Amino acid sequence: MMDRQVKDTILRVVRYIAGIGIIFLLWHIAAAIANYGREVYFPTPFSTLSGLMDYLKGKPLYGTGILNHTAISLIRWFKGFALAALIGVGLGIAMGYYQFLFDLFIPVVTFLQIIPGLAWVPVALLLFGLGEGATFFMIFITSLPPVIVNTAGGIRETPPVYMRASRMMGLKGMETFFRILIPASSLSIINGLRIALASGWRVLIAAEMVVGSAQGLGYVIIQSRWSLDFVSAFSVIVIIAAIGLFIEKVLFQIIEDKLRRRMGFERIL
Amino acid sequence: MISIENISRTYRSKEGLIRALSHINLRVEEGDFISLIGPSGCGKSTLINMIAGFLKPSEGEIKLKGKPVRKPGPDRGVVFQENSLFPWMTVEENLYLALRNSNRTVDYYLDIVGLKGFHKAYPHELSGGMKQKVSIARTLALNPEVILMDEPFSSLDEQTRIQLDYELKEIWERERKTIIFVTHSIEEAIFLSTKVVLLTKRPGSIQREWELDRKKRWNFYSPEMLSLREEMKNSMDLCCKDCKL
Repeated sequence: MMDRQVKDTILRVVRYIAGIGIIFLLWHIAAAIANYGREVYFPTPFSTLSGLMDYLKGKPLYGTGILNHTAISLIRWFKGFALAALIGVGLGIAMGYYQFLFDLFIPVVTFLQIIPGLAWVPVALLLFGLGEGATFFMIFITSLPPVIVNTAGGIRETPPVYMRASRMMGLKGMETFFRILIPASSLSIINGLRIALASGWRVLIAAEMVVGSAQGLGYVIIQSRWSLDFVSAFSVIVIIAAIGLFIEKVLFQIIEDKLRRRMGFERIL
Repeated sequence: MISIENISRTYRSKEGLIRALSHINLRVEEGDFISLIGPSGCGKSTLINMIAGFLKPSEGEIKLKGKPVRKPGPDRGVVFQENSLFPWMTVEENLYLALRNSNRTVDYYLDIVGLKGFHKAYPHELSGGMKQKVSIARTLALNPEVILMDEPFSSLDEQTRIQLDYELKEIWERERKTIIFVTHSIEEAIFLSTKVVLLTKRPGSIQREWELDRKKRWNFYSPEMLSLREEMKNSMDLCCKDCKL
């Protein structure tokens, strides 16, 4: 007799795999229809995966290997995100704590939040010209608002009774900050970082396509369009999806679960 | 020890200025156990929050050992109605926050509330009654001049509440603490207190006070308890017929 929990887990894994299988099947059918009597080749799942394998084995792709392109994109992404996280958490905490700072900055933040990432292209080009600076700016500016909004929200929504308990015990400002306010809003902060990371990733790929960076995953996609080499574009899309999924479903899920357990948020609400 | 001198409190709301408390005068002596009862919305909690320093009186002054109360501080420990233990800290870590200026140990205070061995538990692993006991231990660890309790057991079931009433009374006697206690249970007030103070409906003012024998062992639901309860209930009904506790 199999353990019920093990059985459930296996069943779920099988369903996930089946789900991916259905996507591949639909993709294959779409490709077959598209390729019917046409010159330009629409890559099937199989040709994409075998192409991807070739690139992973070191076949050059617009100047360098696919892993290099990936690494360059990841570094750009991380740089923009790191700065946004640093400033966003700092500013968010200050805004959450001081009402006047919240009133002062929240219109600007809301304004930034409404603007879609790609709309920053002209601004980025005007400020930094073609190249590294422009992509960095675009990632930064789209990652920043969710971090600020969620951090400030977390601080503001800290239950008043925690603040009262802390004042009653005579905790000083810094202690209250690090021992009470930050832990109490940690889930909210993590959530903000998570959204920032995801929107930063999306805008990065788009930015690399337009603001002229000679390397990176977005650059490969746009290049392959000119040379009609769609297998490489599809390979890159697979990589983008894989990285996005890993960050969202694995990395952040683990961090959030750990935090939830550590913070005892499982059962208090 | 604590003197509440002609306190009034007015606050602004959508319906305009609302007077929550009006001209309250009360003296609390060392070792007293004072219960505040009265219809809901009469300002019992407002009064205790002003003693704690969370709210400021609009008029009048509260003094603790002659010094006016201006802001919250560890000389006035508070046991809150809702859970106020920090969920990301263990019981021990929660108590440490209160113990910073003391050389007693966490063990000592956990023992007082009968929760020895629960150091490493997180608050969410404890029952409601146990959480309030840890909260009481935390307040004792501050070694305050006075302990303020704002309906601490109101979210517990009847049986647990009575159990905690017994334990609280024992702790109060053994540790010789001064306690101000807000409750909507008259029986609880009679059982615990040396003095019961009845507030009128809003704007709350003191309607009547009962001095009780501090050595007396009350029994819940004894005829004596029930007749005193009846007397207090009738007093309350005098000021408002449709008041609910």
